[in-house]
Amino acid sequence: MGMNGNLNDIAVAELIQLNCLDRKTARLQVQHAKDLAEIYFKNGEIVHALMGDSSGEEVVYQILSWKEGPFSLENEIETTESSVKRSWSGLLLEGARRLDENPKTDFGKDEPNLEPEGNKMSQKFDDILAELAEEVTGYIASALVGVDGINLAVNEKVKLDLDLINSQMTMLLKLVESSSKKIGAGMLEDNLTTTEKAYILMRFLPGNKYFLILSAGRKTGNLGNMRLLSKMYAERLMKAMPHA
Amino acid sequence: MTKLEQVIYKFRGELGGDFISTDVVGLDGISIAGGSIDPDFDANEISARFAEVMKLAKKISEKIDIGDIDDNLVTTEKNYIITRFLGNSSFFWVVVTTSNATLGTLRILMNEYAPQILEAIPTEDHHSSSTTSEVKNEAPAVQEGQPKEKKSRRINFWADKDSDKEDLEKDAEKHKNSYMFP
Repeated sequence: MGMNGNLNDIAVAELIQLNCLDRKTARLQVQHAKDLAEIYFKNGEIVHALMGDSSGEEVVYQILSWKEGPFSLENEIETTESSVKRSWSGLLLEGARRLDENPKTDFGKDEPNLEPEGNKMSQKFDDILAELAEEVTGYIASALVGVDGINLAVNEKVKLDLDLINSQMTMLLKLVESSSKKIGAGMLEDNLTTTEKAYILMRFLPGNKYFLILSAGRKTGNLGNMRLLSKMYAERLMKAMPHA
Repeated sequence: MTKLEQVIYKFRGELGGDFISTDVVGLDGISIAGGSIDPDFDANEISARFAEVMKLAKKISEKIDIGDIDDNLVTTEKNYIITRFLGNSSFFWVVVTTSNATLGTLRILMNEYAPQILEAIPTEDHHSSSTTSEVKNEAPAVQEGQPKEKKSRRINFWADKDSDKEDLEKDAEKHKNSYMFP
């Protein structure tokens, strides 16, 4: 069971969003000129994207720019491949950013360059979080999150529902920020929640539009280490942001 | 001085010059004991606002399965604000210090004093501050004939330093080994 249609009627981003919000396992095939691309969803996350000999996130970004061509969505089609790690919301955000920067881009006709460039923002965020993961004692996960609760980049040692977790923690951070301001405590630097299982530290990047969330095990984590590293890495993430 | 006040005095004394404010608060946001030495800090407002923070944190922890919340530490440019659940989470304890405080010492002291504070919470205040439905069905916390205000009375130690100065000096003399007012 599934559906067929044309990108004239519905955008790729919408198709992705619908499948992910419904937590579907499915395969989306999209054709544009001579190119055929496939995106595999598993339980609402994109796990694999394939076009010709290329695979991974760059394929997704390519497809997001397509505005015409037939598509076919088939449910319960799975793959064993796992070329995409980023969350679906992060992929859409990054895709939208790229389209904003290059609105006339259409990779359908030319041979696409799918090799990730070292200085691309999303890759930088991923690299920074990967380095952070190596330095934090008892590391569980980290993410760069907007104040709208949407992840820009995530890194996790174990599989977590980071979309849910980070959207909830965003609410807490915003409440803490407003409460701190109201009582005259000055600008919020960070918020550390200690639970039975984990430490969860949230630190705003300068400008307070994004924050770094970092989690470590309660028994294995080191608070001093977490606070110091969160400060250092928040500054690095800020430097990796595109300037307005 | 009640047992709870005594415990809070002792804690405040051990914390020293970085101390600004402390309160023991029900989840209704009403403080049952505590106060501030800094006139800029309204402990009532802190109690109410951070009750909301703790309730939200508790709700989130249940939703995303990260275990029970022990405490929440807020670091701002001026202050540390630690809020910590007590006992079965019917109450929490909030401590505000300057940003010069030594966090490690603060956390250790709170670990040490939390059981004493929990034990010292008066039973009547516990019932009057609780929001559980079981308590609502029990006999009212305030005895017949007593003024209703007594139900949610907050004991201020340092809220008005000038008018209470004489009392505070007497208390200070009594507890001079525990703390010294600035």
